[in-house]
Amino acid sequence: MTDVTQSPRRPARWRYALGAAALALLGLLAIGLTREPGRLPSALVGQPMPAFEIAYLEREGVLRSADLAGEPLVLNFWASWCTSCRQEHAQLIRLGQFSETSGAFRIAGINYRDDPDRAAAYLAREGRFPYPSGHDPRGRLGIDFGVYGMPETFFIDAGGIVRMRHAGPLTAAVLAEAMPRIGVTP
Amino acid sequence: MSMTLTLAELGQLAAGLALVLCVFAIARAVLSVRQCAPARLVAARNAMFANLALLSAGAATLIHAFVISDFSVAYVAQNSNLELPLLYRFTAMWGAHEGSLLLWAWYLSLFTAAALWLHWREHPLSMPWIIATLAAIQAGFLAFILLLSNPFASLTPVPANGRDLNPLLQDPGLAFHPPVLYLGYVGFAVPFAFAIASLIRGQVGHEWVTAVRRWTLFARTALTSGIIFGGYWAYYELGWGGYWAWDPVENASLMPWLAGTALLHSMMVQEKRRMFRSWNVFLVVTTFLLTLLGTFLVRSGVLTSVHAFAVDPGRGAYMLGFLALAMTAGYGLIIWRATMLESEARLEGALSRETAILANSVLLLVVTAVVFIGTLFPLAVEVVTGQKLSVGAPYFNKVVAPVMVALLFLMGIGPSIPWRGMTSARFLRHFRLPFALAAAALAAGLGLGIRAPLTLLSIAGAVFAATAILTDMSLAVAARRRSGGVAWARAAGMVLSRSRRRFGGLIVHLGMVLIAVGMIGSGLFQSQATVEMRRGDSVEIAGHVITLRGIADIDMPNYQGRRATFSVAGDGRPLFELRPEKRFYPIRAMTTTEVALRPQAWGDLYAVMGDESADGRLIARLFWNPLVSWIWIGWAVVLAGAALSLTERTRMVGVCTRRPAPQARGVPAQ
Repeated sequence: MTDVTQSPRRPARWRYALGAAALALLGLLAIGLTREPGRLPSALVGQPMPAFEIAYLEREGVLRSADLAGEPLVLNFWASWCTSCRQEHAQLIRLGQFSETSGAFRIAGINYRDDPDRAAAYLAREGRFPYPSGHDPRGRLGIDFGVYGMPETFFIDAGGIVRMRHAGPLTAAVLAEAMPRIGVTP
Repeated sequence: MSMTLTLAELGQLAAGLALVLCVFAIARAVLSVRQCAPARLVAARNAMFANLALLSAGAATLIHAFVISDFSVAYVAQNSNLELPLLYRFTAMWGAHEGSLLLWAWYLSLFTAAALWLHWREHPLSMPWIIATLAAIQAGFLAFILLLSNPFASLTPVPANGRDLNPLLQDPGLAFHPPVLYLGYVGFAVPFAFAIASLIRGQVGHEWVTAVRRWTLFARTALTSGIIFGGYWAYYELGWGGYWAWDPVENASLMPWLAGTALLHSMMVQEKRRMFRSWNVFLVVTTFLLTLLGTFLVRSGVLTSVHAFAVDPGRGAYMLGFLALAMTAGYGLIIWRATMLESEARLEGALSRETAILANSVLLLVVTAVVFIGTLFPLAVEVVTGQKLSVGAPYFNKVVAPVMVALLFLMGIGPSIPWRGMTSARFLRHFRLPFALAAAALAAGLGLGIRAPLTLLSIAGAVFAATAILTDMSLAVAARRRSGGVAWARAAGMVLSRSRRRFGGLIVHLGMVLIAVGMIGSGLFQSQATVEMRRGDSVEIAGHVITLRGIADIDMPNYQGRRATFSVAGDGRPLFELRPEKRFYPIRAMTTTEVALRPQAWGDLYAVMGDESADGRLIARLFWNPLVSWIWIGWAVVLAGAALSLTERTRMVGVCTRRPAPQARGVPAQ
């Protein structure tokens, strides 16, 4: 094996390339980790919220966007068939209770492409939201909002402008970022 | 309940003890080198054997908790249910993040014990570093399991019933996909450890390569099988008519496969010709790092993928740190030993085995890079510009397919040309028949009206490779028949048993050609239709007339659903029925579609049930997927070839470091 060291030492430039590539990859992955995967850009952000009138899920009457105007609003799309929705369920119930006690904002759910019986069974099992949900069986409203996957949550300020959209389960960190944008101190 | 609770706690204790033993083994192994004390190394080895025993006990307690439905274990409560059939209670062990990591660690302890058992005497000087490397990887994974993804964590209050295993995973196909894939991932840790040991020692000759040839072949075969199982499972379970979607998670398993395949071939050159040293250590380190990167990408949520695993930034940060350490150690050692890694010989002829293997490695690495860039590009764009985008199948197909066609030709050429080189006249003479048949296939393709150059070339490539491989095989059998004066069958048997490695390789290549044919057929000649049908309506697809006969309810213990019945006729005769289903699993509140599939030699008929409208119309998707079965058959051939090659024992000549027997030196021959 000694013959190897006798060969004239060439400046092995590939060494620097290899080291630099490895560092670049680690840097990229490290920055990637700090990104919030649910932050999807939306054409709606900065735009007025689409107006809607849809039937309530578990009661008579109609959920109207006009009735919700004038106050900051959290609008949550959910479904019984969506497994990730279960992860954010407790967070939503807390948020609903906070909305009731503080009165600083409104919150509403949209039951998306779901069967009412299954949705009712889901709520009976996981716990009822302290706020009403509208029923969007064909996903019409989802199209207006550009819903991409379940669950998705839109944050709308008092002026009716969509300020943020979050795809995936809500977490305390997401709420801490989103609520101030619609003028609510969490 | 208290008894079983103790069991899960015992499992956790066993895993904790295994972690301590790993740290102990690292310290002992390193000290044994510093102090020249072989007894310390024996202690390190025994610690790793104990590791296997402890992790086996740990895994057994978790499986036990699943079998008896012990919902006081949080992982069991989240991934099992009283109604779950017994088979899926076993497979649920690796049905989610925590348990699959435990499986990973158990495999590693098994392979570590096996490697120490098999190579203990042959590599005494490398052994401390091999043990230290494997123990360090194991320690990294065990700490991750215990601190951030504990499958033994308990749950209070104990729920009456569990949340059920994800319905998509309630399928026999998934029982085998992850464990086999992991077998491949973890298998590459052993070659990595040998390479690290030889880099640390500065002995980067061919010894480590010879030692790990079969480990590499084993890992690569397991990875092939795992990927194929995944494709098969996706094909008949997910219902979109395909088996490969260039999803980031699929890419994560493809990258180590590509690099590992390059490694497997390139290692031969170092073994036979003492060349490609730097190339081989680079490939083995890269392959192992790609398995870690795959785990990172899948488990950290850094990329958006259809494989919706739980996202946890803490876990991601830990794995990134682990990857950084492994990368620093691996690439750092290569950079440090760069001057030692020069080849002893140079390429001599353009038409030589070495050149073919070099070309093969370069092409495979190009594909790896293409997949790598395609997988990480969305992340890079997001980091730089903040925009979200995804890289789809068209990019991958456009860039990967031409390289794969070139590899198809190389697969036929490589095994037939000798080391050091051959003249171009001999080359052309040898490949007369394959070239002629490839040209004929090209002409036939043109005659059938195929005009896309890549399609034509891929067909020609498959014909070329298959002919070249079969020619090679028959030449070897004919030579044996002449020299031995025996019958054809006998000669074939002799060749198969005496040159297992060469024939194993040829058989693997043949299997890969079959897989390629299946991919060309199903990828380029698929027909599909999305139809809206009423009862009695018919639709024609690829010569089959498919008629909707009816839709009925189904009611099973763990799901309810609807089943459509289609009758299929060809040439005016009724052939068979297709019965796709839509199922609803109430416990998880999830809907799944069950594909109806009829595999035939020339193609599969494939039906998926869509939505029903109130007035009795059904939306269905129907596919004709030509030659898909060839992929699964090709896999079996690959497996057989690899098994044949694995049974050949590579003896090391001249470098055997079995304890020298000094007393024999002066003693006259007995």
